Amino acid sequence: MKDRCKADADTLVPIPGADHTFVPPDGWEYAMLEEASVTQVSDEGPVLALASIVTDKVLYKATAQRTAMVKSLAELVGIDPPSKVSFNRPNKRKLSGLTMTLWENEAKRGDAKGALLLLSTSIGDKEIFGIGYAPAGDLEGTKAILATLETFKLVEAAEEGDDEKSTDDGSEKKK
Amino acid sequence: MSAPHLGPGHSVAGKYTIRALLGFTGEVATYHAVSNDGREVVLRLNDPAIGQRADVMAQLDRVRQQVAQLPPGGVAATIDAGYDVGTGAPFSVTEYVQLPSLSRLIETGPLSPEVVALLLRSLSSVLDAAHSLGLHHLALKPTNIFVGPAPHYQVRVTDFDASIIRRTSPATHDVYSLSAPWWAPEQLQPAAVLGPPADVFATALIAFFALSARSYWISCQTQPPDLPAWQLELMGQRLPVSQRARELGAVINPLFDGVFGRALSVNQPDRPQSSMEIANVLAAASGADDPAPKTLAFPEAQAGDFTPPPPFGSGAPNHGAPNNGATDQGGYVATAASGAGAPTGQDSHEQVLAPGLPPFPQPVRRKSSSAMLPIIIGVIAAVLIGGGGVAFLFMRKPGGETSVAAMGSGSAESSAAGADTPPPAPTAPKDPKPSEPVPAPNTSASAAPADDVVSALFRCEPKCERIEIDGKALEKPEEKVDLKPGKYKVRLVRVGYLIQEDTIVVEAGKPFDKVYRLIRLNARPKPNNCAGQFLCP
Repeated sequence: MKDRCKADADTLVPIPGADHTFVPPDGWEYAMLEEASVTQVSDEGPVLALASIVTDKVLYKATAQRTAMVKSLAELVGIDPPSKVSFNRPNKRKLSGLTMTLWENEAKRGDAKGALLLLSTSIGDKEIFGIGYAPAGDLEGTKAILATLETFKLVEAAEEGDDEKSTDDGSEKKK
Repeated sequence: MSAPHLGPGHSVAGKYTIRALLGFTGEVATYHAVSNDGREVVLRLNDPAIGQRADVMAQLDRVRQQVAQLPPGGVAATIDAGYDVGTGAPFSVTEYVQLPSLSRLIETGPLSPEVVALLLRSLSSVLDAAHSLGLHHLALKPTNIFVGPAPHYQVRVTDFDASIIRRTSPATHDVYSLSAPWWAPEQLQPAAVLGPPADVFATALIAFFALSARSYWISCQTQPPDLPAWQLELMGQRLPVSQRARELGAVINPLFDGVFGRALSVNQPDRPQSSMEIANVLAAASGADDPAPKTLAFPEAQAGDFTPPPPFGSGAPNHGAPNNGATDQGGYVATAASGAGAPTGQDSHEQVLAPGLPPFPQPVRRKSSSAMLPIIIGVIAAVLIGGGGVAFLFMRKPGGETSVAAMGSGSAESSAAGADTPPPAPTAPKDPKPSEPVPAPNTSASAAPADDVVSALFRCEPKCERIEIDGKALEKPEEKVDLKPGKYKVRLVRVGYLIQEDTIVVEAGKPFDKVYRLIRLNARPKPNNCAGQFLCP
């Protein structure tokens, strides 16, 4: 990741194409790329990438789009996704006031096999879509990623002339 | 590809609006939906790939037509079927049954035999009517049997097409975990002919579940079940249901052992023609001898008026009577195998290969108490004639304590083989209830044990509440006990844990010390809705 900033409790990172932000886990690196916002412990280890897409209303087409997103985000953060991404056994949860649909696959990052979390939540006419990865047995990384999903927040409309909350890297600091 | 996963508010075929997801297996998504005219329905959306298989769609159509011929009060009728243009998925719509499933009912505890008898009568009426049309369910489980209110407990059965959908693709681990605990042995054999006996087998398992709130299979006491162990259990010898229930902390009348033994037989011809037979035994034993109440839905399907369907497999022996060798005392003796991989009999320890399954070891045959009786009588006679006085002196130890060793070993063979000091009293026939605790003269403060006894220690993790050796409970579990060399049957009990039984051999001069790890019983099996590191940490 080119822009490696260190997150703290006040960091708010916007999700590209969505009006939402999230708070990366304390001490994790984060970066806002054109196609996604990413936060990770390091180049190997737990990582979370979030983006937004407009999905087709026909389910099998939407599934194909999500599959393509998984591969695209995985390539972005150096994850080897499974050859066949599975959207079986969806797990619905209410997080951050949003109904998120979660799926789990297996994947590899670097030399470590681990769990690949896929998430999707509808925000009007588009959806936030993301992938999270934690090495097998890394409970701390797993919990950190799940905790991040509970920090999604709808950005309030910015008041005119109010630039104080923006930092140099484009992320936001909480007021 | 999988069945469409739709959210609430989504419209299907322009006629039904999704309310909530009820279940998802990959191939089928089941929804609670509302039709345009406000009727609540169950909507099933299949994997679009299934819609492209003409053979499967034809089978599903045939099943729907057969179900439509069944009495409506016993099934959930199909209201509509077609293809959803939006998702490309075939769908079917059935009425929304607003009754609790048997699975939900059992969450509050096991049912009485009287209630289970009524349930089974109602279920059997539906199944027998289906079988007479050549329709077999093959996917019965407590979640697709819905139970009406007292006093009739009339059931409604759903998912007659589930087995067809399941066979369209290899069963995943999740499908196995949910469905396999209710399958008959032949359902694991690709070449086997499936028919009414599979439904009878499933009904017996369901009846056991209803009576005990537990699965009959030890391997299915946990979620997910231990599938390799389940396969071994499924093809192995059966324990009487009363004994299995006892192991699981439940109570089932031993009078039911016979009919359950036949219904759960690996051999299809051994099983009753109809699960009504199980219902009748339950009703008779519980005193509810009245015939099944007349219902508007089944005016012709009443106990006593019941006409059994043609025997499964023409030329098969009379299924209503036990086969040669089968007993109704809980002795589950299988008849000679017909090559379908069933055990060949009580005395056989040969490995039997079932097509498609790896070889598995036969369980160790337990001796029945009736076989021990002549030996015990012989021992009594020998003791009374020749050794009464010596045995009496032998029994009189300082302090008046009696050791288990003096009571005799568990193996009558070692006694009859001419031990130096024959046991003074015979070993009683196996008593399911524990007898009085045996005082254990195993403390170092007491007099030294006889030279030929061996110190034995049985330890449990967690600690056992009761340890029985040859049916006699130790006064102080988990303290050393003196045993004569020989074979013993050990039983370890702790409430809330699976009872463990073991046959041990105590060798002369070799102290015995063994640790047993007890398996905790779940309060009730909970459905496993999570999988993986993120979704089920």
